[in-house]
Amino acid sequence: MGKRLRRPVSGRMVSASDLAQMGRCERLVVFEHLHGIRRTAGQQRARARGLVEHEHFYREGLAASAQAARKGRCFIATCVFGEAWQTEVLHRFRDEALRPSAWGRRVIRLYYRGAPSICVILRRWPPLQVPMRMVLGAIAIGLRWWSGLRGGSKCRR
Amino acid sequence: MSALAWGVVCAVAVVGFALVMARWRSLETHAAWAERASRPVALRDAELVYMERLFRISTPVGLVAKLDRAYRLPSGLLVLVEFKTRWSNRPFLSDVIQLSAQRVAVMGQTGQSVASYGYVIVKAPTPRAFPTAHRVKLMTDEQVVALVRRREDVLAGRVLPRWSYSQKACPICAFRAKCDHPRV
Repeated sequence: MGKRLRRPVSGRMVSASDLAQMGRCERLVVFEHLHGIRRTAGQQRARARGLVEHEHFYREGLAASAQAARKGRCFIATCVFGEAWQTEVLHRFRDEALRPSAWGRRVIRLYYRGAPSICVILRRWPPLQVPMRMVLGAIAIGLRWWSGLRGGSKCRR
Repeated sequence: MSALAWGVVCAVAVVGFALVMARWRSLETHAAWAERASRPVALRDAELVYMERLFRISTPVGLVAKLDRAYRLPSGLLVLVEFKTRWSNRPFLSDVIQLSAQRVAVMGQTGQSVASYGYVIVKAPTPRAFPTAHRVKLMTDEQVVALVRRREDVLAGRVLPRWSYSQKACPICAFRAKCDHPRV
């Protein structure tokens, strides 16, 4: 029944959930330390239910993160530059200059419709990435000096 | 098999695959919607940065904490969220202690600023129950360290342990037979 044996207490890690037991009952903390964790049948059922709900909660978080990551993607820039400052500047231009207005969001939607196919072409014929890199690089340099982006000077590295 | 039959089989396979993908995307969208819906209003613009992540510190006390979720506000401040499944729709002292210990561990390991408040999301253990978020004020670093020291003292027998704060805890306790509490 018992899961733990009596152990020395000082100088070892305590988990946040073990510490939380102090807020329930300090006697229970001592009993569990001396005799190991014991649970009644009802507590075991509640724990099993809690684990299932926790798993759902985790999956919801994962799905939300995946969606947010997809929204945050800047297809062509990531394709030609990877995670570089140019990608970051274009990303910020999208979020700070385009996204607030209705026409900007329309532009973003149009871009997301066409960008994946352009990426496929760029990956299949890598020499095409050179002119694309030059064009996007020039735009990124221009945007870097444009005061329209919040904290524009911070971007000037 | 004739070319027509092959064509039909391929078409059915493609349609089946498309339906499976659509269902998968729909489930994912539903889960993401559920995450947005369960968020407290104050975290609407926040970014979900940590999930089920372990943090540990060894000074001033050895502490290990696993976060359920942590959100980053646009200001850069982290806000911790703890998920609980139970019938009683309110936060307990143990939830506050757990979140406070997590806060100390996150700040100690990463050096990031963590809000002095957190959220306890409570959900009844039924499939259709909707989770409720409760904002709680967290303990200070000093209070958490003092509690860890008190726990050490209690386990070493230097301090007498207190009985349960809640009257409901005793009747369902597995150590009821060993306890000398007058209620038991």
